[in-house]
Amino acid sequence: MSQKRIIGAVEIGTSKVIVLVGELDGRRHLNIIGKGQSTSHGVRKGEIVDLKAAAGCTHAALIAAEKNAGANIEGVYLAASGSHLAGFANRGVTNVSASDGSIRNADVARASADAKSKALPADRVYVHHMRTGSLVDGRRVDNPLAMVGERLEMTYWHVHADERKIQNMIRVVNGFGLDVEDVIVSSIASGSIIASQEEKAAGVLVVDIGSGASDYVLYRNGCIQRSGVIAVGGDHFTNDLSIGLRINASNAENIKHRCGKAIVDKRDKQEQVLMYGDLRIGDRPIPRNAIYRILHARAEELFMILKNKLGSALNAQNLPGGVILTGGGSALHSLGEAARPVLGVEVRLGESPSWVRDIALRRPEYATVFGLLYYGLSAQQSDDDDAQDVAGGGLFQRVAKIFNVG
Amino acid sequence: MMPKKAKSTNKARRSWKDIPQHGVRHASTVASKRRRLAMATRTLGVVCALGALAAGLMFVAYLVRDNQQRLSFAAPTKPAVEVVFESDGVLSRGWFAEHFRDPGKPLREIDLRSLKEGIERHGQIHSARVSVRLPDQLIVRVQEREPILRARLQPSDADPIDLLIASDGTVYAGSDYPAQALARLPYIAGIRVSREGDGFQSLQGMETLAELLRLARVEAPELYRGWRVVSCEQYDGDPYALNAVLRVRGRHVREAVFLPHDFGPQLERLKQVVEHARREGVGPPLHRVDLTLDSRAVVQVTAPESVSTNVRGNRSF
Repeated sequence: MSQKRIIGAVEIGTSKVIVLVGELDGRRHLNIIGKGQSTSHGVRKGEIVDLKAAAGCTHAALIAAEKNAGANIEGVYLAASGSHLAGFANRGVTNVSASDGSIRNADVARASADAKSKALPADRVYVHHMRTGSLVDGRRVDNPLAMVGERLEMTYWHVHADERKIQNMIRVVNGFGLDVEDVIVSSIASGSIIASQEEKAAGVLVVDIGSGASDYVLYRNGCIQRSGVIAVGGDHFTNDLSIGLRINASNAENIKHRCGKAIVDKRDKQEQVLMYGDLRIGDRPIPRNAIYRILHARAEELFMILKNKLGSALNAQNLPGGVILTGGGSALHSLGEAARPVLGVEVRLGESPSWVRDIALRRPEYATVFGLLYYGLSAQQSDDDDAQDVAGGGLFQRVAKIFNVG
Repeated sequence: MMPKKAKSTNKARRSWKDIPQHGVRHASTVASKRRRLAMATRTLGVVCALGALAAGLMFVAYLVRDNQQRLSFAAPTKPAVEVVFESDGVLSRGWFAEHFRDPGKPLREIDLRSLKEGIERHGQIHSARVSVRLPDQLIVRVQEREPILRARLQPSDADPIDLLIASDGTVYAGSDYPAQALARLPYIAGIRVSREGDGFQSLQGMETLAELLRLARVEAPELYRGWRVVSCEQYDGDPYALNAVLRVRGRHVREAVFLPHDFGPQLERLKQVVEHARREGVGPPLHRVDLTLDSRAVVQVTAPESVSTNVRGNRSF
C-alpha cells in the first residue's frame, strides 16, 4: 500500500529562501507540487545572523509554498551552507571475525563504527558520514561483503558543522511548527542531482556558487571523496562591481545580471553600457571592459581558491568528468570559460536531468532544493543509515521502514 | 580539515540529530502562529466532524432498530406475547384464551396486577400468579378450587343451572370438569344462593360439610357413592347451634341425620347400621337413620305411614 507524504526542501540562502514541496509516494515516486520563494533577511554568507529576520522570510516562503502546493508540509529537508562546515577523512579498521575469512555484515558494521568514532570538539556536530570506499587487505573493493580477507578498512568523509549555527537553522524551521527530517550540505544536495552516475564514477567536481559562499563536492568511484565551502559567492562579484564602478549594490547587481561576463573580450573593449539602461536622470555609460575585468578578477580568485583547496585532486586525470558549475552564481555569463584556464579541467554549467520537466526547476538556483528532495529520497544517502543498510538492519527496522515508522 | 582535539569522549559521534527539536518555538512568527492556529482549528474540525458522523451513525442505527420493533407490532409473524398457562386443576390455556384475549400490545405494557385480579375474580380460581419472562412470554399459574357439592339453581325465566360449591363456600359455574366427575358430587339443598356482581355470594359453614364429605369419602366410600343430596335446611353455618343438623339423602339410607360436628363416630354408627340391616335382611334402603343422639342411632326402617302397622320399623342401636 503506498503511503503519501508531503515533504519540503528548504534552502535558507544569503539572497533568497527557496522552498520546494514534494509529494512522496511510498519512497518510490516524487512529485513536485509547489514552490515558494522570498527575499532573504538575517543571513550572511550562508549563516543566520538574525534569527527573527531569517525566520520571518523563511516562514513567508514556506507559507507561499504550502499555498502553491495546496497541502501542508509534514517534514523538512534542510540545506546547510556556510564557512562553518568542514570535513575530514577517516578510516575504520577491523579484523575479519569469521574463521574462513569471509567478510560479513557484522565486520562491515564494526569497521564503519570505528571510522565514525572520531570525537569532535564540544561545539561541533556531525552532519554527514559519507562512505568513500573500502579496502580488504589493502586492496580497494566496491563491496567487501562475502569477500575473503583478514583486514577490512572502511574509509569515510565526515562533514561536521558548528552546532549553534545548525541549531539556529533548525529553530527557524521548528518555529513554523515543522521538524527537520534531514540536514544536507548544499553542495552534496546539488551534486546528487546535477552529476550523473557515470560522472560520479569517473570523477567530477560540482561547485554550487551561491550568493554568500560557494560549496563544492568531489566525486570519485561513485562516492563523495571530499566537500567544502569557499567563502566567496555571487555577492562578492556584486560588491566588487559596486566598489570598482562606484555605484550602489542594487545597480551593481542589475548590471551584473544584465551585461555581466566573467571573461574579458577584447572585441567589447570600446563598448559601453548604460547604468540603468532607460536614459533616466542619472543614467550614465559604463565601459563594458571595466565590468568584465572586475568580474573576471573575482572569478579567477574564486577558482584559484578552489584549486588551492583541492590541490592534486583537481587535475584532468582525477576528474575525467570535469567541473560542473551550478547555483545562482553560475548564471554569470562565461563563468565556465573563466574557470577552465585556472582549474585546468573541463568546466560546464550544470543542467538538471532531462526527466525534470519543469523549466523553472531546471534553473541553477533550484539545483540545491531539488537536490535536497532527490538526495533525501535516493539510496545514495550514506549517512548513519549507511551502516544499517550495509549491515542489513534488523527485521523490525525493515518492517518499520516499510511502514515508514521509526 | 581534521578536528584538532576532542574535549570529551562522551561528545564523540555527536550528530545534528542530537539537537532537540520538539518544543523549540523561539523562532515563531505571525505566519507560523497563524498556521498553527489554522491547523489546530482544522484538527478540531475533523474531530468534530468525526464525532458528528459517529453520532449520526448511532442515531441511524437507533432509528433502524426502533423501526424494526414497530414493524414487529404492526405485522407480527407470531403473537407479540406468548402465554404460558399452568393450572393444578382442570383449566387449560383455552379457558384463559377464551376469557382473556391476547392483549395485542408489548409485554412491557401489560398491567400484570389487573390481569391477576381479573383471573382471580373467576370463582373456580383460588389464586393466580402472573409474571413475565423476557423477551415475550407471559406466565400465568393458577390454583383452582375443588368442588364438593353441586347446587341446582332454578331461575324463574330460564332453564335450571348447575353450580358448584367449594369447601370455602364459594359458589361458581365450573368449567372444563369432566361430566363423570361432576355426576358423583351430591347436590346441596336447603340453601339460598344470591348473585353478587358477576358471580354468587359465598355460603357460610361449608367447611363443615366439606369435612363430612371428606370423611365419608375416606371412611365410608360405599355409602358416600350413594349420597344424592345434602340438606342444610336445619343448618345455618353454625355447627353448634341448637337443633342444627345435616340431612343426607342417599341410596342406602333415604335420610341420614348428622350433627354438624364430630362426624367420625356418626359415620361409624351409620356404617354399622347399614351393615347390620344388610345382615338382618332389612333394606336397603333404610328410611331414616338419626345419628344425633350421642352414641346411639335411631333407625327408621320404613316410611312413617307404615310405622303404625309395623312396630319393628323403629329400632334403636
